[in-house]
Amino acid sequence: MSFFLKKSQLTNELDNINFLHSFDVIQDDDNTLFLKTVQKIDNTEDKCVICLILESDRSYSLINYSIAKLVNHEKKEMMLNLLNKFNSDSLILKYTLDEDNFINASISYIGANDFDAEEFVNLIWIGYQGMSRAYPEIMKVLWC
Amino acid sequence: MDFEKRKFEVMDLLRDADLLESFDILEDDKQALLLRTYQQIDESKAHCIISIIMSNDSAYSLIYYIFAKLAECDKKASIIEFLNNLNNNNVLMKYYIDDENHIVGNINYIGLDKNFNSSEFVSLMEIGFSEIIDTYAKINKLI
Repeated sequence: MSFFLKKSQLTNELDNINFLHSFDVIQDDDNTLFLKTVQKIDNTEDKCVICLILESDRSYSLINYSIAKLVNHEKKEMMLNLLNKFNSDSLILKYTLDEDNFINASISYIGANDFDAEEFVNLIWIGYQGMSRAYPEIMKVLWC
Repeated sequence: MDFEKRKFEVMDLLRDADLLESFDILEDDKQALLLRTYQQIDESKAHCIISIIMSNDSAYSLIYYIFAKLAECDKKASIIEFLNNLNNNNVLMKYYIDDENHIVGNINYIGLDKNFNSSEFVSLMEIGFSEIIDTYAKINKLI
């Protein structure tokens, strides 16, 4: 499947479920499609940033949820322990603390030739639900 | 692609690559396929357990590499930080320490029916194993 077709299938699928308009297009060219949206986290007033990244030269398409920022460095070890536990428990989400101290969850959708936009969009929702379930425990570590 | 065909294709590709005979078949029925092999990962005869898990009712086909065990708990924090760095820089693999202090690498291949590509799945297992060998060399110095 060509990169152009992959991109158009994804944007069509997002449009079909009336979700495309909520995304900002950060990059859209021959090499990359980078979409970003800010969404409320389930049952809270807090927000997360969801990014979708497709690249022409990679077999992986990414969904990334930027959940919160760790400000108090003393809690880094406790946070990393919690994220390790989530990584052990979660089937599809990978939790990390990045260099800028943002707590992220991500999904790698692997497929060099086969890209199913419907499946990919479904994963955005599945990942969002998983991240929302983890969020209260992350907040506990940030605020306790 | 139905589950029987998915299983058949994966086992066929493993056979073609002369890998199937190294796997123990722990489960092979209408619900699941569970394969496990022990592979040497360095000259000291350290081993990695590779498990392949496919389920009839799940879009996730899983590859697990258990490649080390943390014996000293005082090193757990530094290993978890190291694994977090690996996770940040790696798209394919997810690393963690499990409840029994095993250091685990995990690949989740998502795909049902027409989106399951068996040759891609078997290639991922091999690519993942190469990565585990590199990671083991680094982590061995820490533990």
